[in-house]
Amino acid sequence: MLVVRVHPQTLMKINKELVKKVAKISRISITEKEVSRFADDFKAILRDFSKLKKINTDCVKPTFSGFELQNVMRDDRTKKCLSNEQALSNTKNQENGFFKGPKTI
Amino acid sequence: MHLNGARIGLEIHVQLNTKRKLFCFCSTKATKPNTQVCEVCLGMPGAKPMLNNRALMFAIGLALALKSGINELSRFDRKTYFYPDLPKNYQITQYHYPLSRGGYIELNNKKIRITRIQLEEDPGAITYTQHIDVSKYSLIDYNRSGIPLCEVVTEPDFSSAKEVKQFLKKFVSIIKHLKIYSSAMSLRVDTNVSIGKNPRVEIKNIGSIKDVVSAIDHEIFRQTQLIQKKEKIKQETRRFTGSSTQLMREKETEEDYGYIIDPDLPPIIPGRWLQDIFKSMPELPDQRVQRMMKQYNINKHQALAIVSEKELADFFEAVAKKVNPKLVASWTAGQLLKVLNYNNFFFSETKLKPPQFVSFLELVQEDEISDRAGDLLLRELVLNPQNPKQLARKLNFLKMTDKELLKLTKAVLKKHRQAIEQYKKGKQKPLMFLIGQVISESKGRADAKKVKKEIIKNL
Amino acid sequence: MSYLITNVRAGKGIPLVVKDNICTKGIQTTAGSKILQGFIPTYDATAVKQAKKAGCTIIGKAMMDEFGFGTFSTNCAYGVPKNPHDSLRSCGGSSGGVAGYVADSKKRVLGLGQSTGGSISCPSSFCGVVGLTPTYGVVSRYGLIDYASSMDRIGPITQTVKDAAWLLTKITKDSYPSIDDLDSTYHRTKDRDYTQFCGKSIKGITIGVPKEYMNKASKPVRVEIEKAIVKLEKLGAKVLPISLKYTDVALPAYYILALSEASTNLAKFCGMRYGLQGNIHGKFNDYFSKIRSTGFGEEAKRRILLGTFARMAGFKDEFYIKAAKVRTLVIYDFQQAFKKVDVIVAPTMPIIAPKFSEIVKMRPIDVYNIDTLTVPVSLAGLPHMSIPAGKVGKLPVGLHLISNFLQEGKIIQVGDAFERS
Repeated sequence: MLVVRVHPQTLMKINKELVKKVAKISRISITEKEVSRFADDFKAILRDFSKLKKINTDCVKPTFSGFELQNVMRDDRTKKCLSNEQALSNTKNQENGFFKGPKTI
Repeated sequence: MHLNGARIGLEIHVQLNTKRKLFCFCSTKATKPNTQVCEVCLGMPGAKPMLNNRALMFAIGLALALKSGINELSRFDRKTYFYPDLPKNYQITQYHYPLSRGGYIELNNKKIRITRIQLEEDPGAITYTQHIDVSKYSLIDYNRSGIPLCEVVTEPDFSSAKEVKQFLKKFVSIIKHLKIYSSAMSLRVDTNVSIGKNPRVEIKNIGSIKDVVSAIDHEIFRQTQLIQKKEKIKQETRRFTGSSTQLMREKETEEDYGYIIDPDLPPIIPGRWLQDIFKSMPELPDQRVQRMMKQYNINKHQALAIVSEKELADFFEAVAKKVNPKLVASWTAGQLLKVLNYNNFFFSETKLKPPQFVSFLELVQEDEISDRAGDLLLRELVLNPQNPKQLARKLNFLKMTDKELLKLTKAVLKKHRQAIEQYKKGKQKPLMFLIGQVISESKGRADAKKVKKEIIKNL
Repeated sequence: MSYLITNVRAGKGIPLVVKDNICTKGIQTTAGSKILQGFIPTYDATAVKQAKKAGCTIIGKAMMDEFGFGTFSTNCAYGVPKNPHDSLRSCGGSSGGVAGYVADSKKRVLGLGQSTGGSISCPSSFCGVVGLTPTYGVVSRYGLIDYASSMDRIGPITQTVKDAAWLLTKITKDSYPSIDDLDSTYHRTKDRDYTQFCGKSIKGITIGVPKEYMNKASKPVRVEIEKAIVKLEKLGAKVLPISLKYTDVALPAYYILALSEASTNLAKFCGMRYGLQGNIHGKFNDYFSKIRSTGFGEEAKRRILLGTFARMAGFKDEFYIKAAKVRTLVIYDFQQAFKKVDVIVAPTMPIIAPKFSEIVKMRPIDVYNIDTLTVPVSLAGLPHMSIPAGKVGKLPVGLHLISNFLQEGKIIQVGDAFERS
């Protein structure tokens, strides 16, 4: 696991190194110019967002959904699924019914 | 192989025996590639997950069977990483609020503690047309994508591969008794091995119990060698090739999974189902042991050995309907298991059927073969199941009938009149000689005591 | 003027223009992004299915900010829609194409938009049409290309309140046998006819006006809103000043949560199985990175990076978890207000539609802050509707009506009464 050794005093550490690491994790390759630009953007954005810190949330439970439902599930039954042709219909990268993908090594 | 200070932990991924996948309505049984797939398990834009309630009930059943504490509230998470077999490039799993925590499985003299039990989805399967180093691309089949898995994580309580084997056998017996798993489903194990205070090494994605045992043995050996050479053991992730462990490259060794609660799936509050699931749970191995001891009047050691595999226990009970259970138990927990262990088989890998074992035991019961012949005959039957009497005859294991013995004795006596004369004169040696001749002529089928009697009768 | 990415041959039914992040079977669906170029879904979104069943015909897929990332529909890989009232100005976003088309059309046409942080309300306000964002979960999200799964909603953008009520009735109607098999966050409402709330008096309805919202609006906008409130009073509504004290912090909480979720939702776009793909060769990480860097626009990249950062080990507690806790407070804020009032009324946007020349000068954080009035209600999951209230010059000003969970009827009632007056 990649552990970013940055102290939680984040604002001070929004630097190019961090942007590059995040870009790598996100699988987005960015130029040096973009690294600088994003680093500046992030500094400005996170400076603005630091107003969150002032809110006391000690006894507050987090909300992760838009409308809290519970126990939503369906039976163990099958439905008609896509045919092999339909599944592959959006790609030329196919062979003998398989999807072609890049190598993993 | 066993080294003091070895600590081993397991992460077991059990494929659950459901009709549909964990989050979509595709069938879990597929043949041709990419024929049981839909927008959801292909990770197409806009598709959403819908939980399979049977998978949840199965997982709850397993947690109860392992005495694991079911959490009041349980949620799903997104584990984000990039790999061609992962259609959404995140796996839906449980990280923050798993289904249950704690629990244990008891081995002979040790409790192996369970850390957590959770539900998660399987990714697809990657293959190559040529050798992986030569191929220019991979081929992916998403039939497996979305198959329900139950992950069981143990504390690093094991100190040897042998304990791991015992544990996994019992674990498999439990999930088969629960009927949430069958031999057709996959069982994959990740294992963590460390020696003393050295860092842990993880070996990922091992597909069978035998390979797990082998991988652990190899890894302990590898680490021991490094220690002896005074070299450092690095914390790393390896894979098992079948003959050794190898360093794994890329994939998950440099990832921050950035877990978030999956907002597409509302939380689970399992409380309402616990009573019902508990009441309707099938007989589990420990209960079966107790029942069989009472029902068949067999001892605990035998019962434990027989129930160590569900197929063996089922086999035993089928045979015990026809033959004296104590006899069945003695041979099952005895020679049968000895043969299996010697050949490193699980009973489920043999094709021995109850009727064949019944016939075999009848031969023993009717004293048609000696115990020693029985041992040999059974060994052969386990490896090549067939009609026991025919095989016994072919191998000359059947004891002689009285008629046959009389005939042979008379023939031998006819041949060796001199010895008879000698014996009648009062010498013992000729008698021994005659007995030996009969036994030799019988090719071991004659029983020595009976031969002596018969000779004396017919002098 | 062009508002569509894909034109569809017109049919017999009621013309419906659909935002291009809502899947339409057999019709290209791009979410405004290059990375989904050529993607032809094998299925209709549930809301589309229901609209078709009700007699609508899809006439086109509309331009939008890529994946919903934007407030001005300027982040669209297939063209930028121009405000029908002034072509030098933005339609608003991210449902700018739908709002612009509906506003520009001389004939009756309906629109299906989508909102995460206010993307139905904003363009409706800027273009002078009705935009209704229902309670989170009452319209199935199946087939909606995800931005932030806990906040995304589909809703009508129409020329009248009655049309919006009609279309909402049709797309929430649980007439399809297995409709709720597909989206775990969908919850059935009683088969309710929202049009029954039209044509009613609003005498006695209590309306709350949050001072924080009024203070954030520009003066010309505030003037129009104050006029609109007076009108509502004349129609019999009681007006009460209220305070929503967590308004300011709602914006960072929204962005952190939305982008965290978005960064996982967009991980699937990597040149596999659909959309933009390349020749498969080389290592997988290089392939993924190349496609994603080519296919995503700058704002998409910025948001993915920010979202990934906010949920990284080491930052998660400070950002993702913290934001989720503040979300609870924002919901609480509204619940307290609804103890005193039936409907909250405010400016939809703090400004009128800006010029494109002004937009290019804005920093990302400045753009984000324009969402300040729509983000709180988006975070809370509450229903809201923007209706045309007045004009500043030729530019429309939207009036925002907000009600409590599952109380769409109230805002439809007020909105319709205002429209008729």
